[in-house]
Order: sequence, then C-alpha cells, then structure tokens
Amino acid sequence: MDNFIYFDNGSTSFPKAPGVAEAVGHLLMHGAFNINRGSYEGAYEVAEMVLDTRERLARLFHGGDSRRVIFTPGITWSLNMLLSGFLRAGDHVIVSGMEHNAVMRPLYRLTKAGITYSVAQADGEGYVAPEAVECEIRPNTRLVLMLHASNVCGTILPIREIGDICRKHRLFFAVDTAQSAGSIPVDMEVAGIDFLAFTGHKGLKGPQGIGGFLISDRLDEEMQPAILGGTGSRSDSLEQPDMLPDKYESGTMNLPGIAGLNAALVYLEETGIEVIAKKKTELTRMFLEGVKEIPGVRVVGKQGCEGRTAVVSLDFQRQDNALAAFQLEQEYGVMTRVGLHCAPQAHKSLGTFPKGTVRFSFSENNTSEEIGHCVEAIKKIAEK
Amino acid sequence: MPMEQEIQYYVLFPNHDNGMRLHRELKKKGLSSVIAPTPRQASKCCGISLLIKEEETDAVKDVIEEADIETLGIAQIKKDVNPNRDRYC
Repeated sequence: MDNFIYFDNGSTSFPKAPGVAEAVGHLLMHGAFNINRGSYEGAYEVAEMVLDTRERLARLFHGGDSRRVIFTPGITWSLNMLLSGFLRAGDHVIVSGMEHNAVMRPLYRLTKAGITYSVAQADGEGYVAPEAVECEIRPNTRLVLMLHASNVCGTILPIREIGDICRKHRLFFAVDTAQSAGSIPVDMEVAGIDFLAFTGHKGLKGPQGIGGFLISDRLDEEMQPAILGGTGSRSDSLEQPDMLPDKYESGTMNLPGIAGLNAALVYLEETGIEVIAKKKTELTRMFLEGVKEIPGVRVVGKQGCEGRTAVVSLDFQRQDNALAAFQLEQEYGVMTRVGLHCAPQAHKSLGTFPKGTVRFSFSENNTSEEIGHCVEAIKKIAEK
Repeated sequence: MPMEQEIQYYVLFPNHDNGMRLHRELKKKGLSSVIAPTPRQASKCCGISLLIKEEETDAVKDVIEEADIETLGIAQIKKDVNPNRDRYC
C-alpha cells in the first residue's frame, strides 16, 4: 500500500523495527525447530535465541531474573492468566477508570465467582490520582490492576506512587504496559510491580501474536497456571512443573514471534527508548499545536505533552466521528482508529461514551510532514 | 577380560531453561559444555543435559553456584547404550 499515513500505532506499530521480518522469515525458512523438545543442535540454537529474548525483556523492564519472563500470545492472555490464576472467591480488586476490556471483561465474569472490584475514578483528562486508589482499599483487597498509559487519550498513570501505596498496604500490583512498553521507560523494581503484562507488537515494534508477563516471586507463589500441558520437563509427572518459566508456558511457543521480538528488542536497545520517546513527543506536540485552534474539534484528555504518550483522541463535535475517520482515510490517506477502542470504561471517564473518538497514535517513523498533512486534512473535514 | 568403559559427566536439569543458562555461562568462562539429550538411565526428565569434562567438574560446580542455576546434580554415566532404557518422552 503506497501513499498512506499510518497513525494507528496504538493498535499495532507499523512499520515494524528493522530486522523483524527478516528474523521471522529466517527462523521459518532455515530452522523452525521446537525448543524444549528437539534434541539437536538446531533446536538448541532457537533455545538460545529465546533465552536471549527473555534477558533483553528483563533488562528492558528491570525485572531481575529472566526466568520470571513468561511468553504468552499477548497482554489479553497475560491478564486472563493473572485474574483466573490468582484471584479467589472473596477477593477484592481495584482497577482504574481507564481500563481496557482486556481487564474489564474477565474481571466482570469473575464477579459471578464471588470476586468483587472497585474502580478508582479518573478525572476528565484520564488521570487517576494515587489517593483515588487508596480510598478504594478494603480489608479483602488483594490486587491493584491498572494500565500504565491510556490507549484512548495517552494519559500516563502514576504507577510509581500507586506502587508505593500497594507496598504500604501489602497488596499485589499488576500493570498493563500495552501503551507504554517501548514508548516510555517502565521500571518494575522502582514501581514495585508484581505482574507486568507486555505485548510485543505495539511500542516494542515486534510482530503480532507474541507478548507475555514478568512476575515477582511473591506473586508466583500465590498464582496457579491457567493453561496446563506439556513443557518438555518432568514429563514423568502428571503435576504441572512449578518452576519458571515452565509453570506458565505449556504447549509449543510462538517461536517465529519471539524471533521477531528479539530483533525488535535489539533495535530498541541500540536506538534507546529516550530517543524514540523524544521523537514521538515532538510529533505529538506539533499535532496538538496544530489541532487545538480548529473549530469543532476537541482534544480529549490532556491538552499538552506533559504526562502523556503519543496517543491523541479527537472528538469532531459537529459530525459523526466515524465519518470523519472515513474521510481522513479515503480523501487524505490518514489511517486512524475510531470508536471506543475496546475501552468503554475509559470513554465513560472521559465523557465520550458512547460516541467515541478518532484516535491518532504516532511512531518515531512518522514525520512532521505527515503531521502537517493530517492537521490540514482535519481542518478541511471540520469545516464541512 | 571385560573392557574398561569410558565415564562421561552429565549435568542434569529439571528443565531446558536452566540447561541453556548454564551452557551460556560455561561458554562465557571458556569451559567445555556440549548440550545433549539426557541419558535415560540418569533421569526421567525429557530435558537436556550438559556433557562436561571430568577435569572441569569443580569449575562447573562453581559456575552453577555463582549463576544460581537449578540442577539435578552431575551424573557419571558409562558410555554404552542400554536397549532396555526407560522411555518417557
């Protein structure tokens, strides 16, 4: 596809990092051997690559021992594994008012199994104050679970301060880094995170279908695996192994996905997240400056660049947002995402439910020319 | 008169991950390490093991401790093939 502008990096990044496609293709063409099963040199080489990927992720997130890096198909799987493997009837959970359905749907279902939850309310900019979390704590609260940055409006939540609250009250703390990993620094140790869910295909710039989680020892001791099966270890026993990473990694893994993610992590380490973040912030600032004075267009959430990622939602106040997004794509070649972004809870907090917004999400591969073109397109659409 | 059989030294592991980690650490230290399927007489695990040199077993033990690798010990195996070996995999 030529002559298009891709502003939907919040859904999945594109283009992927240099070397990702080659790494996936190389594995598939030259040795897609199975690790933990095959007893031959080719399989061991793939196992080395998987181990290297775990170590890169542990470094990226300051997660310590890379045995605590677990691969899954993505954050939705990771969060489901947490919620179903950790919570018990009678437990209470606190989530933020900005959550995605990857949290809200499994949690809602668990309410039918005797689990309750409270929502720490967000303000009109999508920010959740630490005090809003603390005041929801009950005697049976066991887990605080929230995203790091909103997938609707880009607002970054204060996970460090909320992590401190969790430490103080001896609660487990889980963070969904879908919109922050690879885009801004995430430090598991500093924020006191027990469960860090990540996906490989957004800010980390790897392929779809690979993600995972990092887990603290203390949470691991209280969590059961949701998926059981072959691990290539202790095969004589019907008991699931309790050692990491085997405990949570039953079945054949997405090795092409991990190979692609490995290449993406090499790129991130070589480039530096701070460099990427700076470029994205410049583009976001330019976009916000460009759209703030356009009549009939409202920036939803934070108006400036402080405390946000490169995700911006607009509300076209005089027309249907879906039609505006359609025109952007059909007439100006700008690809966005319109609607509720799988986050009705967040849109309710932001006052954009059920209408939704048009979301623009940038990557470091975008250019100032693209931003300028898009701003002009928005002006013309808003005039109609 | 029976022939003297060669003894081989295998580091055994509860899973592949620990085996790969030790293999990497031993390579870094310049110690010999060959990944091999675990002899069935040594373990019921399906996992890999590392074939090491007899004269380096003490050095390997040091690395295991330093790198916090979980093992099932070091087995001495006679280099022969037992057709009646256990089969679990």
